[in-house]
Amino acid sequence: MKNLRLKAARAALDMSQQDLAEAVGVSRQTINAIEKGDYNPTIRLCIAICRVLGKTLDELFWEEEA
Amino acid sequence: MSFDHLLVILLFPVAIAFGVAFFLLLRRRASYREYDERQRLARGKAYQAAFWTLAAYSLFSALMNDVADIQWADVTTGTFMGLFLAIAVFAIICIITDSFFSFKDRPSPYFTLLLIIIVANLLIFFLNLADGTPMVTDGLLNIHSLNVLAVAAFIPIYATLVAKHLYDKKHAETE
Repeated sequence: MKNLRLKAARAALDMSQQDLAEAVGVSRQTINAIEKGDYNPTIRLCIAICRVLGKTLDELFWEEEA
Repeated sequence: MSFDHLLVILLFPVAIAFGVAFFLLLRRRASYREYDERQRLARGKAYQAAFWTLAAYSLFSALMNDVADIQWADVTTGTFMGLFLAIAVFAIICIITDSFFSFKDRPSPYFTLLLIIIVANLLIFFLNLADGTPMVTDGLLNIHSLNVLAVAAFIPIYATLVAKHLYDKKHAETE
């Protein structure tokens, strides 16, 4: 499932995928894969992304109720 | 043992050592190599695929040899065919899943290295052809055919690299 909240949070800080990837310490393709829903990151990576974007785990990665 | 065989046995480890040394030098210059978690996962799957490819080839080769009495290469060449196949499978899967290069790597030296490997092996192949060196002995491919087999393995890898690079450029995220 696509992670549009992550994409929105990144865009709100005017960050490119490459910027976020460098800040978090992963490849740009990994950030792309997370946003497209092709990869489920580990909790460690989720926390690192949340710290960089200033968001909580719930705000970025909790599954929305159907 | 003929002089040619002795030469191959002595020169082969030297060539491998040079190749490894060059590769390690390239890695050090390219800064510390690190794969992220997604890349490590993808590379793990690529290793599995390469392993099973090699296993399947070995089984197929053994069955064809022992049951159907069909051989296409001598032992050394046949072994290398399996290795080349496994290496190609590993590399292509890694390239497709964006886990061939670490996120700190610069890809351009690797494009150059692959091209050098392909051209060098093609050169040796054509030199052998010009010399009249036979690549088939008693209906079986011999070690002199390894160069063309290496080219056959590395060209798809290089083509996949180039195609992926062009695909990524075309679908780069617009900001």
